[in-house]
Amino acid sequence: MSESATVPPEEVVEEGPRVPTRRLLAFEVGGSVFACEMDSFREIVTSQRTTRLPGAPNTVCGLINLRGTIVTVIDGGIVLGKPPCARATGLVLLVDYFERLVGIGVDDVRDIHDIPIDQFMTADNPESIAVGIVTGGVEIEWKRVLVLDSKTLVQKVIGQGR
Amino acid sequence: MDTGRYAKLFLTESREYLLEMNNALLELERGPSDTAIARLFRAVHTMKGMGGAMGYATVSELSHELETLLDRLRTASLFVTPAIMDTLFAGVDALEQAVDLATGPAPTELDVTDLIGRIRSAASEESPQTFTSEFAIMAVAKEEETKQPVAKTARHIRIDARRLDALMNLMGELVIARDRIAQIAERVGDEALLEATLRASQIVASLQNEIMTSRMVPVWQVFDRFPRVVRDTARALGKEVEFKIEGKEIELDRSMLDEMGEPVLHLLRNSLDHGIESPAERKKAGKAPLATLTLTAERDRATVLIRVTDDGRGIDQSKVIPRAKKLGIIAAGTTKLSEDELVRIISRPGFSTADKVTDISGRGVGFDIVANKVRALGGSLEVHTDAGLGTSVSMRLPLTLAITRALIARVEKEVYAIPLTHVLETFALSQPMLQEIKGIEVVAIRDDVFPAIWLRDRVGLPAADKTGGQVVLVELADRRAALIVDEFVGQQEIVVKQFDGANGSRTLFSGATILGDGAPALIVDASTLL
Repeated sequence: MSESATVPPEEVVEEGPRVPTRRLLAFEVGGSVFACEMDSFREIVTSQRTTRLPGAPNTVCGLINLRGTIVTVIDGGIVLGKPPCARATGLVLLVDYFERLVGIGVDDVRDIHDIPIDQFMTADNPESIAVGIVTGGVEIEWKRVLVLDSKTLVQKVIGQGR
Repeated sequence: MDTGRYAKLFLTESREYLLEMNNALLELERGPSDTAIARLFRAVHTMKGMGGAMGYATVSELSHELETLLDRLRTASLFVTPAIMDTLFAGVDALEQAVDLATGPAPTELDVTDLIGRIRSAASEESPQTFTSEFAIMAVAKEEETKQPVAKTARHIRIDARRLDALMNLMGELVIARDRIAQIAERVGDEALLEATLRASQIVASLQNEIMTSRMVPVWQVFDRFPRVVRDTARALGKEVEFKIEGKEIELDRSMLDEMGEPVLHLLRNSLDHGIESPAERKKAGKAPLATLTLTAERDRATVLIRVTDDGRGIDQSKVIPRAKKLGIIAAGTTKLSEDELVRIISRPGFSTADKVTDISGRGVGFDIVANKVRALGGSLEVHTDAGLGTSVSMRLPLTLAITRALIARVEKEVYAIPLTHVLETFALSQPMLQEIKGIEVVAIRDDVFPAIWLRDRVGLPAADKTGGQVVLVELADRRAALIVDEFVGQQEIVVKQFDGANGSRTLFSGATILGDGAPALIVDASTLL
């Protein structure tokens, strides 16, 4: 059975002038931390038995059975120019994509952060990451973290699919 | 009234009535028919009421004018002439357009001023009156009107197709869960548990059968729209065609029926445009000027055969061969093609021997669309053609898209499903069977040899020693091959599910399924192997 990690309710902290925030999910692949908009994920599940998809590039881990639906899982590590994600112990982030789900395999999920929008920085696109996936950068726990667009990431691998 | 809520229902019902109108018109065109006029009148009358209730002014106004004209035909105060037939056809077409526009995302009203003028002037023409006929038709119409509603309400209900799809999906899950429980029960070995599992399995099987049956719809639901298309196309091309439909009552799963309309339409258009000759040309060839085009549905074991047959000129090999040579598809020395080779050549994207491109076909996009679609549906295509005598194209389709029987095979630790639709037989591989002919590895069995396909090569697993394994003889049209796997795990019903492949990668698989242990397994697409 898959365990679903539930999203904690939004904390209401009212201090100083209100700046709108964006809720980001920080995750780890190949020792690096990246972040994506929390809203782009439907669910996070623990690693499942994956069926290899012959003929697909190494950016695809394979297929998993999510409560009766077949979901294609992308290797978050390889897409982001890092070592392959830990397929046995990692987690799968499920992204809503054209009314269906596609998974992104990652090593671990770190935390959820509400970042004021004025703290978003423009970021250079590292050579190892396909153009369009990186939308900006933020500082989380005194470290610069690249913010990614999960749908673009999925699109680079899957295309329009089906 | 909140019309938005009812717009969808209106659209569905309107389509049924428009279909009824078109078919009644075609009947009327063939010769005088009181029942056809009565059917038309009833359908138009109902549309008028429905359109009025929904506030669709054009629909109800147009229906009203058609009703007036039909009333005169019904009461025999006016007789059917070719001009009146044209007006009625135009009226029904406009009604269809008006329905689409009124129920579309940005509802608008169709401008029908000219057409209404035409209908009115047709309806106001002078003609002799016959009272006996009027009485007879009124009586028929009344009797049918009172009979129908009672039967309908008592035996049929309207269900949203998505409900049936959801039911089917759940059924799929249940089948998977059943297999899993059966496996566990087998392992535990408890007699009472095994018995209870068996009983549950039987119930699941009956339930599955019932659900599958409830999704079956007769092919006429799609076929009935073709007579009108064939008539219009034949007219536009100046050809005289008698169109026959056989096996209308044959049933197919809804999912399959939705998908097969388009390829059938392509085949019909192809026949009309390329197969059937002009009346003059037919006469010259010693044929009757009236051509015959037949659409047949036939049940054959777990498949349905949909066949389009014409008595036209046939596929001319002397045109296909040079064109195929020019494209480099066949060897320069080829003089004759087998039917299978012919299918392969004309199924190629962009292949056309048509001298001119018409609105109807000839762009070379017809046949490859049909071939691709049929393949995607897990079916196969057969063509029989006799030069000068006609062509028959058959699509062999499975009854449903959702559930199919498959052979479960293992290669190393990976498990694949091979649909039984394409499996001829299976046997164990022994060393002497493996031979080499002209550098090609083959499997020899009895007096036949088949090209050997190692599934492990196709799925990118490292080669192993070729001492053993199992052979699946797969067939598609008249091509056969020996697919070699490590071991057979079993045979079972699988629920076909779609998945997202990687961008641009070639796929060997037509879908995936979930096995009893909960793991996804890929379904091998026989057509990509051959």
